[in-house]
Amino acid sequence: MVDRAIRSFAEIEIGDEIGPVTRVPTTEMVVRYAEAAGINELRFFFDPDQARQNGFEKPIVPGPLSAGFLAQLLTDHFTGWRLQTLNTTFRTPALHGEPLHLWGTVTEKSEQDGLPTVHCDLVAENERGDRVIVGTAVLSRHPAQR
Amino acid sequence: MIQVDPTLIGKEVPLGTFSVTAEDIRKFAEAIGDLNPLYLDVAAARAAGYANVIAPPLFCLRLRGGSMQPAVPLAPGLASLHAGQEMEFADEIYAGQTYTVSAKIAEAYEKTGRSGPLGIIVREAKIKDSSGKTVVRLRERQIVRSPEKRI
Repeated sequence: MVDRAIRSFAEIEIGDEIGPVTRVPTTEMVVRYAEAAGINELRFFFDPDQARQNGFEKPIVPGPLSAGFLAQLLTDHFTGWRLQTLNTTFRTPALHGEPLHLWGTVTEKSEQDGLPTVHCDLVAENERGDRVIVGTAVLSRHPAQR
Repeated sequence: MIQVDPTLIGKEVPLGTFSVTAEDIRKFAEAIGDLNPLYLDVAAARAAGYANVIAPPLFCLRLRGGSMQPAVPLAPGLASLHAGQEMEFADEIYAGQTYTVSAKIAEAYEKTGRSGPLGIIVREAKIKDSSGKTVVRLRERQIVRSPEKRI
């Protein structure tokens, strides 16, 4: 159950940890995501033969699905805030059914144009310790929540 | 490795105009397992200061289309990979609104990586609302390589 209490600027500190949260992108989830995101034609995400032809041992998880887990990590943690930027680098593909451990760290807090803002580093790591995604994000307090 | 018509570099092309429904957003949110009430419940969204339900951040990729656009045909035997993305959100994507999407190839170049030669294609897309305001800017990197090295 996600705690959706509004997080105030004052209670956020540099070095705060976000997560960790573990998500498992199953084949069923990849299929549903492909349909919802309109990428059904990219067969290597679920067809083993197509995956091999594209240089993968097995079908892989779409990077934006894993990046979406990181976005959710942030939006669940920072209730009352909105994402301004999300930058992600897909370093190695995630595999179906393989847990992804997600976490972040607050690296900076400031006021930009009078709007409370926080900067975060983000990581998604697989069970083998490989960093699947590294990223950064900036969030600002939603104007209606100030 | 990659051959991009030089006249296409920097040329913005329209990808279409799309109406976003609450059902589109619900399907996307459920598919990624993100059941935030802001995406599903109009009362919760309004209580949080939004005019209607909003879309999860990565929903913007649905608007830019299934694959990275403008498309660059690859020579037989080459494989490609989405290497990363930078997203800037000036506003939310709302249910009940219409959005216009355009994109361009910002740059295309080749380099040698640890696994051999790579082609890099960088695309930029803009999503504008019906007032013409850019609500999302998206910059994506596609890597093209020989599929011989298994991942």
